[in-house]
Amino acid sequence: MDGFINKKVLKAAWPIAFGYVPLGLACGILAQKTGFDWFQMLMMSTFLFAGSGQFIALAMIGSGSTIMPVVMTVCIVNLRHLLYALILNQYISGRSWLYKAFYAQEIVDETFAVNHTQFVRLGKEWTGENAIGVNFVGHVSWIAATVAGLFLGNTVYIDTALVSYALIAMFIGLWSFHFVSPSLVLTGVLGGILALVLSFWLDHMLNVVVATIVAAAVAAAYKAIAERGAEG
Amino acid sequence: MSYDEILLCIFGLFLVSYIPRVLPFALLGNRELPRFFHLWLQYVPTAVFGALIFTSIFGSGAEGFRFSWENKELVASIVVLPVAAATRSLPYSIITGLVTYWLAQQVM
Repeated sequence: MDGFINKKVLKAAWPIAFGYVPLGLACGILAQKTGFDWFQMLMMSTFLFAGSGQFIALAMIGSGSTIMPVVMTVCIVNLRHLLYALILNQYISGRSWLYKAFYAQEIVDETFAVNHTQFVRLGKEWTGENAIGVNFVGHVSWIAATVAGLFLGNTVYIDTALVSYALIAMFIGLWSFHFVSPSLVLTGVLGGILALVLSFWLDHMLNVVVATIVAAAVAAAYKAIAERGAEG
Repeated sequence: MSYDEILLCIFGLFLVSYIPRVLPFALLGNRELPRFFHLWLQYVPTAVFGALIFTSIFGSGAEGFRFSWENKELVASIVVLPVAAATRSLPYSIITGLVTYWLAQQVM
């Protein structure tokens, strides 16, 4: 049973759980205000499992939206997970269908970034079981924090702006994993600028998805041309 | 939404979230991918986090960017970024962010 939950996995996964405590509590408190009970919260955190997706869905339900607009908005917000799956596929392509079907449900910004970094750094030393372990710790801590937040509800005060900033700080931490070459940093900055420009026309994070696709393509084209130049 | 409608909504949310997550696994399988696609994939993670961070800090053009020193997210991030770059650590980034943002709230 080496692999699923061990020291190596916990060392990589605990920062995710650490970040999910304030975010999950805030999400649970919002759900309580929206009128959710613990079962609905449990279902949502288990089957949707998406930080920003859940916040947006709860805000829309709270303001009286019908089902379709909520579903369509969250679909767009979560489209970026498709990019993560494209990348992760390289590392888990040899695994069983069951493994992949299970893994897919656990793809969020944080589990993706942590596992991807470990796959790149450790190569074969980071096993499929280790990755599932990180996903498990992330998902369970998210479920626990959101359900706890729901029970706490009005009894505690949480500064929403401060908690929202924890997410941005977490994104900056996840981005910093890529500060290993100037080209990677520049590609991130390009992605950021493009996303801001596109935000005039695209919303619900569609600008983020398009900016990512374009910025990565520009960087890849640049790299391909540079390599060809070096060969010729 | 009624209680049952919310559960139905959650089921719908599951479907639209799960499909993009599983589609690449289902379609690509063990297939060898073109070299350019591999190169492109290398740059996707940094690009996506850059895009998420910039839009979280500055907001959107349609609603009006928050380009000002009153923007606490911007002020805190200017402190978090070098700490993240130096430590490449998620916990240090989060703690620095929470402390700086809280201080900014007190002062600004």
